[in-house]
Amino acid sequence: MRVDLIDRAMAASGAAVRAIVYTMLALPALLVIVCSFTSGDSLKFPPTGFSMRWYREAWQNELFMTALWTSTYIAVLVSTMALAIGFAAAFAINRFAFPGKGFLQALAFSPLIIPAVVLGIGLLQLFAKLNLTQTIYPLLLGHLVLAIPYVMRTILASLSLHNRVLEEAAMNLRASPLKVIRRITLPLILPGLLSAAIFAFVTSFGNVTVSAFLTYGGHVTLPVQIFTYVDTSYDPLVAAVSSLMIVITLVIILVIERLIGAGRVA
Amino acid sequence: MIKRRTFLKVAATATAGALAAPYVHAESKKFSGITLRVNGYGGLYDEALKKSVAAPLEERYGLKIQFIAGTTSADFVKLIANRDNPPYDLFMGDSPNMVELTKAGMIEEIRASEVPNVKRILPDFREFGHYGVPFSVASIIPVYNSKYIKQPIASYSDIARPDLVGRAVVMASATYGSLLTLLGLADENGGSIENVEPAFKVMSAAKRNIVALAQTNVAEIQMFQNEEVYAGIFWDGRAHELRTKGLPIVTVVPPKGVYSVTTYINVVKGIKYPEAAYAYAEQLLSDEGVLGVPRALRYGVTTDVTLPEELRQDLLFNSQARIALKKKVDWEKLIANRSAWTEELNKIIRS
Amino acid sequence: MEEPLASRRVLTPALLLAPMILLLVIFLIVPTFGLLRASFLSESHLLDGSGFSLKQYIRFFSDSYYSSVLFETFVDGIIVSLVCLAIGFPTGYSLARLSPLARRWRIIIVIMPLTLSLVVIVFGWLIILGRNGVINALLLSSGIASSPKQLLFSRPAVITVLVQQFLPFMILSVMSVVTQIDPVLEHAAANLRANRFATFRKVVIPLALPGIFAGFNLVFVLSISAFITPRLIGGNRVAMLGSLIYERIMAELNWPSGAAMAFILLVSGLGVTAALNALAASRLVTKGGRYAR
Repeated sequence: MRVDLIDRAMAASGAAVRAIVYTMLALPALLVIVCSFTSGDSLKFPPTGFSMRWYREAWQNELFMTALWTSTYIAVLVSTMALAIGFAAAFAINRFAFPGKGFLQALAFSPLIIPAVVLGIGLLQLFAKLNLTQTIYPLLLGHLVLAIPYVMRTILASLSLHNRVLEEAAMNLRASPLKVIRRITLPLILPGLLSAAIFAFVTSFGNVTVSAFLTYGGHVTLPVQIFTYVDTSYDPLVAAVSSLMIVITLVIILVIERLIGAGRVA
Repeated sequence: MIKRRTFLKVAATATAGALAAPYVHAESKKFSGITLRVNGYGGLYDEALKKSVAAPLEERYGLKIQFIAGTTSADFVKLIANRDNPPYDLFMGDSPNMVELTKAGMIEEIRASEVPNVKRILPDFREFGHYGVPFSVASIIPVYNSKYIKQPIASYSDIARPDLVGRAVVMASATYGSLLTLLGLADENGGSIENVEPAFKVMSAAKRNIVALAQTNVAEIQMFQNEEVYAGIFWDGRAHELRTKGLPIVTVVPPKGVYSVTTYINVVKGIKYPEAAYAYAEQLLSDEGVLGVPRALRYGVTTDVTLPEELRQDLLFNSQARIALKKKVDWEKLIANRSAWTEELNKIIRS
Repeated sequence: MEEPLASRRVLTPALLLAPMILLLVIFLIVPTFGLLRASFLSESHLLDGSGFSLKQYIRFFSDSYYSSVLFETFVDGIIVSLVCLAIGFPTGYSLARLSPLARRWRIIIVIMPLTLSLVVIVFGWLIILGRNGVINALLLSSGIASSPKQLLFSRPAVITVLVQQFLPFMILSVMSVVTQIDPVLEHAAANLRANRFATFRKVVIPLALPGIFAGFNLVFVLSISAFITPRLIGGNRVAMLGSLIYERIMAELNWPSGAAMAFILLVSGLGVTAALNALAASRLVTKGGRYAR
């Protein structure tokens, strides 16, 4: 009896919490999407009329479209590289015995706690000394640094959970370490890898504060473009461009899912 | 609609140019093949400059202008960090930025020999000697929504009026909108740039009124639009923008004087094509160029240009008498005091 | 068998770690030290920096305003992390236990806010929390309030938006570990007539601890260095150190002072994180350990 009651109370409160969580997470984005279809001139809710007008404008706006492309390919590059670097490091920390692990984890985690403005200016100074400011490297490396903590945390948590018995068994059967990693470790931590890749993508795709210092001439990322656009004008164009960002993220998530193995994850 | 038309026009010009260029214009366009990079202010501001300055230059000289989006402070930091390889050829900045720019020694002096239209600049609108070419002026003034505020606001200090409880807004503490507000308040209450204590007194009294400090112009626009606030201190061009959105916003001209910032274009030192950059400045100060920003955003002009009637009605500085109200600001001193004032204001406002 | 493994033990981890260490040392530590140096400059300006002084640090610690802001920033960070944990854990857990198909769209809802520019999200929140907003409309129509309430520009508003912003990190952290807890363990517990609460407390939570810690730490450090949300939603009425740092550096161009504040936030933030983790670990691990083994 008592078991039943507690179970039911938990199920009910769980459902309520989930309802609140999903509403809370989706609502701001949904409002923006809804507003992007307005036919009016100003961004307000409820929107006036329905039209694709602002999407046409966005499509014709060279600045936004170039920025969208820049953001996307930087984010894809960053997530690929971050995943490789992060997995290697997390694997080393989790599977080998050596001193200073705590320090390494703190190192990997540190980009998060350094205020973005500080990192942005610091990187700008560094790249200016290296005479690389007017290239793509500052954005790429800056975002990579930002993505590392997310990737490391997620992969480390996954690695520390999954059972090593399988790996050891395979090793005892004289499977090469690479094969063990490919056949056993990677498949086992796939969900972790997927979240890591998505974290990395999203970190790079959405970043404004560090990017603002690292963009140059032809390579302005979309969030920076939006940020400056919004500084002087706020029209539904911004909502339309933001909705496009959502669509791109969806596509990327689905692609990552396909690549890593459909059905297994997410 | 305007933007789309501009886009089509630019696209058409560009296509026509691309087709025609190899045959006819190759020699006659003296700056063809050159692209100048300007730090953009973003949005409609850049659109206005593209239409009134960049498009004519391209048509006439084949000169291309690239507006690079960024915030002025981040752009400035980029400029300073890349002294030897400047990321911009032309740098736009407001009066307070000019202090830093001249101090950093990164910009050229500009004289009438290089840019003849400099002679057309109104007296007192060029605040930094031969540095910088002023092309637009924005004023910070009291504004209110007449639908809710029946007793007109008359001065900066009215922001502390008891009937505005929970209904007022001023610009965020570190912005120069807020620094100028402090100067206006000090001025009206027996203080000065040397002594802003009276301004802080007014701010303390206004604390109950002030719902929030607006971090950006757009944030303040939204607060007015959503009727979170009925009164505030804001830029003149933005008040006009609110009116175009259908709000009954009244612009107040403070009788004791108006505080404004001037926007300058600068030619960065050590760039490849200074001649092309001077041509930009010249076009910016021409009738066509200088009216670009006012036409789009209703900020004031800096030259002796004759204002078209519809602009004359909307602009704040539309007569000799009005221009006489424009207060001179010691920008150097303002910058020196910025940190202390910001800190003080933050302490007052924090609840 | 023994020999190659031993040599692999030294070389392999070093090789595996090298890319990350190089990346972070060159592009994080070096620039950060450049700014640490800047925080000791004697001039309060980015252009004429020379000498060595503790001026910036003294300015910070001699004024109780700053320490109280720092304290509030940490309190806010802890509140945000706790709220995220409280509502993010059940969500992350349920996600992990769903079928992949059912999970997909929920995950997308979770990730979506991360991709949106913060400026745009804030616009969404203005619609929700504004005087003419969704919440006020609900309050008025249900008769709870008789006139619209001022919801924006307050601490609860800032905390709400921070929670929304960082909740995905918590949910995904929890989910990624819970998917790897074998449901068999829970069924076993249930078969032993443990109720769901007991199963949770004694089986799930101890096993999910790495994910909980990861999520909590992430949310905490993100919250304490947030500055766009406190600025836009709090409207300067809610002071958080991140926004003061941003102001110092971007608006006042006073790098030394901004850098000094950033380092104070950095060091104390790391301290608080470590202390919280130690506290939580000693409480939870010893308690749960008994059952988990």
